[in-house]
Amino acid sequence: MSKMISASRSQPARNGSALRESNAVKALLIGTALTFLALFLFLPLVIVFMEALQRGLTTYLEAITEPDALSAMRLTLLVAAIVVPINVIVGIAGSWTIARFDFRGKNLLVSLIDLPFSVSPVIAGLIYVLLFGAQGYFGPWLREHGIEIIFALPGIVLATMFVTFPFVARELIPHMETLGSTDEEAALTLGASPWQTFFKITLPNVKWSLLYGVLLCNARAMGEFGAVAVVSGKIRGVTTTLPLQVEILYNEYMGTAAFAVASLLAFLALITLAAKTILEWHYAKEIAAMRHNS
Amino acid sequence: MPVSLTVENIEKKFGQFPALRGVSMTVAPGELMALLGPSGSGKTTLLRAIAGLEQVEKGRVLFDDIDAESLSFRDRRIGFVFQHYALFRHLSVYENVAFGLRARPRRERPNEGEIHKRVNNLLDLVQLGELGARFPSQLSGGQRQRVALARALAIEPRILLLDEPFGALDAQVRKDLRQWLRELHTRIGQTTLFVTHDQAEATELADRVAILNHGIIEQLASPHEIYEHPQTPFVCKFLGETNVIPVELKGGQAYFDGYRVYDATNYADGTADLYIRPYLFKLAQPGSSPLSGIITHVHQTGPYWRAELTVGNLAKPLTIEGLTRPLPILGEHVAATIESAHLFKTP
Repeated sequence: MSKMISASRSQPARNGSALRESNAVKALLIGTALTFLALFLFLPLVIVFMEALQRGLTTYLEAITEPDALSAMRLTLLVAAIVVPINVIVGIAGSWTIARFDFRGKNLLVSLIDLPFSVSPVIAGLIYVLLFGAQGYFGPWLREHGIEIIFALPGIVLATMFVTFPFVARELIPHMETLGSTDEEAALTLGASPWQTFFKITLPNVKWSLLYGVLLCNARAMGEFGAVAVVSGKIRGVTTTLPLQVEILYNEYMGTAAFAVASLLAFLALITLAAKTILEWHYAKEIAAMRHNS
Repeated sequence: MPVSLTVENIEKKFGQFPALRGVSMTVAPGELMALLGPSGSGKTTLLRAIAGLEQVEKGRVLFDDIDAESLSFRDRRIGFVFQHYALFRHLSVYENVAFGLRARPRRERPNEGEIHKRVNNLLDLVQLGELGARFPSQLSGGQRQRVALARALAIEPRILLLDEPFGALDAQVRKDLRQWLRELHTRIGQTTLFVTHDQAEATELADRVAILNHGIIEQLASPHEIYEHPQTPFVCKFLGETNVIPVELKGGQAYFDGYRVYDATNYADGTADLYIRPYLFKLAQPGSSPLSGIITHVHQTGPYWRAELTVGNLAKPLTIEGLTRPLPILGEHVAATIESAHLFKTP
């Protein structure tokens, strides 16, 4: 997460002689970096598409329009559409609280926000099974009232929310802390209501951090495997998301179909990346202004 | 019509630390007043309390005779200029100034044409008529300062509060802006209170100066009055360099080291400190005053010379300033006589 940001916020290179490397060193460093990127990031992406299209476009299209694949696609988008807005709202509220107020247990709360990063997703999934599963704490009560959580959409949403929660908050907290509260105070003295202050000052001030957070949160929400695998029960065409569908197909030796579905996920990732790049291009000036004026 | 500002017995604590310990004062309609004090004296806290940005434990704030507590933020109409301006970086200069007008509830909001006229008038007033389309990041420090001022004036504030208005600027810009602000104040006649830690700034700009120390006002008077008649040792020291000489008061005279050094008619017997500005000494023949010693340092800045006179029974050498020639000579034996001093009884 932080890699993505530091790269885009990099300073122009200095030309001071003490910092200028010889051309050979420069070439070596750039070469290493590019080879690494090509081997570990670009090549796998190419292979996904190559394998998917190995048996021709028709087979590819059949694989991705097959009912189970379409249902997995729908479920994945639905889960993201539910999880991302919730995490955005809760993330903003949490970050604002942490950045603005001092209270007992604040440090504990900050550590808790990071918890999903340090806990294995599989364990995250198991926690929900333990709570809401048939043998879980609330299992009997839920069954009595006819509410399905585990092996159903609510379980998948809960598990995904848990895993993706830190992305928005982690982006916003440091940014809001550096911004301080004087802009908001200024808006209040100028007669803005708290809501006006939030929508016209606070939110625009952090919108780029928020956008990064949303993009990362979205990417992870669509791609999450471990936690979702535990709670979904993998009922075909009902509770399989795209990553689960890929695994099912792969385990059944349907390599081409697996790669075809995987290419859909890769495609979603590329759209996310493209969206981010286009926005950065389009608003380069504004982003620079926001950073230099702090 | 300018409004008067009254502060009554305000108290404010940060945790255990008392930031304001019962502050009362009145700023007259149209007056330009400075809150002067060292850092940590409570001056910014007082300014924020008046604006409603800080909750106080005791006391109240009045605009004419309206209790500020009864007013919402919007109805208080305080023009507050923050130390680092707090300009909205995602809005143009024009939109920054228009912010307060656009934030009004719909039925009170001026129409677009009216906003346009008002914003442009204000930008002209602060001499930034051409820069409305710029973003704050594209402005110099002095320009940002003026945008912040225009933005605060846009809401037609009852009073104008400025927190260290020149604190973040370099020396030359500071001087220019100071003069400009004085002129602007004369033109708009707004009741204005500003915070500063720079005594030159306070005395040059303000009609009256309130000197804060440890959360109380030590003296509130005109720049002339506080300089010529400081009420407390702190005020005397804070306004300029002083030499301190401990003396014994007896029968209307002040004695140092057993010898008479200064006239103290109307003072009861006891101990006291004499506070003497460096230019209020006169050099004389050695032995003509108990303040006799050796010149241990001399240097000249512009037309003035400054010398240090090391006196046997004083812990610190006396700093003496003068215009007269010839200059004192290093190592010379001389005496200093006191032309004028402020006398503060020691408890």
